[in-house]
Amino acid sequence: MKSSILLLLIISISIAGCKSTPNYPQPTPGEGQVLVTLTGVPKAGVTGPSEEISDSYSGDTMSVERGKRFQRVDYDEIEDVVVILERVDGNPIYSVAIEDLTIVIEDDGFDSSLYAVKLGIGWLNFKNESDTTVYVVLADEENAPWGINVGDNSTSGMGENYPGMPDGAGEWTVTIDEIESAEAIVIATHGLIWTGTSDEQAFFGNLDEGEYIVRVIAPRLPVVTKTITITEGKRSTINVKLTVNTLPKAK
Amino acid sequence: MQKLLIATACVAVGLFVGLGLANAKSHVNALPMVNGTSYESGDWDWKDTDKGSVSGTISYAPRASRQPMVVYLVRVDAENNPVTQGKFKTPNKLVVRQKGAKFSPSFAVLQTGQKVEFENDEDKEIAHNVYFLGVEDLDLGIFEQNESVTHTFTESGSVSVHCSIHKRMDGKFFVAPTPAYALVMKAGKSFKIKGVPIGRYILKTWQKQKRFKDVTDLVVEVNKGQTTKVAVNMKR
Repeated sequence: MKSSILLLLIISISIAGCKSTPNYPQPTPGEGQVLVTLTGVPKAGVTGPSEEISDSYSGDTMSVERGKRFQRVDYDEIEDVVVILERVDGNPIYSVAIEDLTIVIEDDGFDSSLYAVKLGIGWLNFKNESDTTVYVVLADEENAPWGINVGDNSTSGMGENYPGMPDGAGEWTVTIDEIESAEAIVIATHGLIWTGTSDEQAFFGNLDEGEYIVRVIAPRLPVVTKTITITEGKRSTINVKLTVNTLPKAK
Repeated sequence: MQKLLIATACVAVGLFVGLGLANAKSHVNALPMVNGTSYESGDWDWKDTDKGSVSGTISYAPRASRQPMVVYLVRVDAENNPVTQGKFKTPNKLVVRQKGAKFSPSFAVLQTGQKVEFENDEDKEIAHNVYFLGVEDLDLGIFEQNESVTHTFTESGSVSVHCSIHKRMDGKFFVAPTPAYALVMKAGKSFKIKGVPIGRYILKTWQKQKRFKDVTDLVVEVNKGQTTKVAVNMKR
């Protein structure tokens, strides 16, 4: 009896210790799926800090290196990761769900540095939590910048056909006239979007057969792009490493 | 007599056309030359050329930005296609320090061919890494306290600079294609670019934070000993 209880305890602890992963539904005969597993990988050859402490003010983990506090990149949990799934032929991927994006404006800028919005369906909203009315400016490489006034402590949004907003996919730089340091990137796509951290998985279901491109974008890291073939009734899996180890090395 | 007149007229017309063609041909050949080499192709050096200047006023609509902007010239042919930019002197090496897990300076305008030295001047044994994303994707590796790494940018464009070890250790550089550029700071209303070899250029802009449509197609002719004035309109 005692050994059974002990065995049950050991099994429970083992299960609790394992990283829990969501249970995704199995694909039906008419749909394809993609599961993207993300892994952050630090640069090869970097030695660890002498110790790590929690900063009492911010709560962030700081590394103590030779008595100095620096905040290291946490490759186990890279934040603001965006995974985009697009058709190789560029056609939109239709989504039943309404996918709005709300960007929060704080006193010193945006609440993140990287966002993604689905063109044609999703609204791009700006929620101003500062006490100043601001003018948000968006720009891409080709078109004239466009913008929107957002009153203090209020929300303004851009829907499809907003004046000046391009209808093509691209990468938009977002800034604020009144807050010089504010800067972020919005990835605009006709495809599907997932956002999260590097210790999660990005799942896309209910896909038609065909060739797709998976793009994984994270701040300060090289973009990873992979092409994948989706077959109905099957789940395709991709493992993506978020790392600088893939960059060419200086000679 | 009649035949003689006709013949004379034909010769005269022929001479007229011939001279016209010869002149046209010599006009085509009269592109700026440096030591026998055309400015448009081949090897030529800025120090061997006649030069002029470009000065400009900058207007912003609806309102100015306090972010830095670069105004630069790209040498082009008569059809506004980029041509060889020639050989030019590069500025002294830029030293970028890393003390306190920060790049100093964190923003700079460089020139193709210019060397940049990243120096780990931490006062403790703290290693840093430098890598670039943008016009060049490259990892310069890890270097320890008092070590430094030098790199030469050969492509023009913007590049972000980061350390893969430390958060928020970031910088941004713009690499101008030639010495013909001006850095405009804090809503500057004017600029001047001196020492520009005579010829035809496209004036372009680059903004550290893009708040206006960049100028990409303003044609500028630079003449010997003269200052060409231009108006740069930054709009939304």
